[in-house]
Amino acid sequence: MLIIKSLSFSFEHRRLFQDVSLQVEPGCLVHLKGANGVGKSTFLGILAGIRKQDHGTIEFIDKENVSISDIRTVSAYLSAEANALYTKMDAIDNLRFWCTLRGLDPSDDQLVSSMETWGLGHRLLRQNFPVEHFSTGMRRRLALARLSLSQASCWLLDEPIYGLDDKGIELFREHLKSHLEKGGLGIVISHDKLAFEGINTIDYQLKGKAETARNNVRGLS
Amino acid sequence: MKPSFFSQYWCMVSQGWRADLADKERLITPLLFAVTVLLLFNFCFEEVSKGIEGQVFTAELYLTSLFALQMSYVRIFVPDQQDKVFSLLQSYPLNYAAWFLSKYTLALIYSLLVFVPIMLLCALFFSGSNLSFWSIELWLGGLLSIVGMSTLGILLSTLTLKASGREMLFPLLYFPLAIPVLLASVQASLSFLTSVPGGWHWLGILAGFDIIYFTLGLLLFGELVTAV
Repeated sequence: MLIIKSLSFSFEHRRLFQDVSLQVEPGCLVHLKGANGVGKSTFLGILAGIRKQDHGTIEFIDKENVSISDIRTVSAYLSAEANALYTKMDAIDNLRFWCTLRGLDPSDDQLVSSMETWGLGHRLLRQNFPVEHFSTGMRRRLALARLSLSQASCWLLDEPIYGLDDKGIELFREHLKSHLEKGGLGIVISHDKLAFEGINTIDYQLKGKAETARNNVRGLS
Repeated sequence: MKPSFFSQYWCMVSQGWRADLADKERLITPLLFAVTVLLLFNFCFEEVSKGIEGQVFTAELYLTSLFALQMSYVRIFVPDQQDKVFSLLQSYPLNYAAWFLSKYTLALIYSLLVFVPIMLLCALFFSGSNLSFWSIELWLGGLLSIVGMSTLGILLSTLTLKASGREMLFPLLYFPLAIPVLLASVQASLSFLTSVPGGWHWLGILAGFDIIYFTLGLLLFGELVTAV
């Protein structure tokens, strides 16, 4: 369970959001909504550990009821405008690097299988083929393959279907559904409702400036 | 599964090394720059009188190193800046000490890849002199100067990561802060080259600055990467 209490953030003396409290239970997907510039991506960046909040706390309670204050250990983040891939390196090297950094040791078969799942199964794509030659959609698929390999309980997704074709979007929905069914949770920003069509979501409206956004979101399961 | 310190350190070192091998321009450019500068120095100076050979040698060696290594250090985060890799690294449960040490190890490797050929080339240019290029103390001085400059390079590279005009700002900070290291290295090398006593004293000062900069790097790196 993800518990966010009284989160506030200002950027260059401009208050983006204030006193945001949110509770996301296992199996629950929160759709973070709000106008452009209201601070949705910043909010997600704070949860991911990329930015520091001015005030407030973020806590994760795992299945064994243990409180985790550094949620980077249980979360996986996907940025909106980038896929965080070493573009001069190949797909397998990228996946292996990010898995090892998380303390995972996937076999080559697991990495290949994950790529196949995301429609990147062709053997010429896996090794000795720099990611810089991938199309936008293929890079997004690889970033999503990394996400599904991460074994993270909490997915923080910013415009996850950016660049994906219909098949890719369908694959994403399947993986997201499976993640939630296994007791995972997520917060997603998307202006395209296709991203989670057929999946129960709870909308959370992020309000800007000095308005107080206080809303407790509870899980469906 | 919680990743171990060593596995994260090694993972970052090997990834950084492979990322640089994949884009060799970053590895080769500082060395090419250094060789060009040395050739220019030698072309300009032509015959150096016997009395100042040691001074000219150390000046060529350390000035060239300072400028060439600065090029290496300012680019140490380039692979991580592509495609917002750095942001994802920030979101990973990455031990900051392991991150710093991995970058530091890479900086040391790149520094050696530049410094050793410069040293050898300088020795070749001054082969007709009476200077003792192969003394262990002289190479130890060089190594200690690299240790100090690398720490400083990593620290300032992190500090200026998001600064506009980074390529300008980095040398402005780097050159003045590198003066103690440079001064001690030059004095130590000069002593060992010309067999004048006092070399070990300067090496001690150099080691002291290395420890200070390394400690600062280790302590501040976490703060700097989270502030970016």
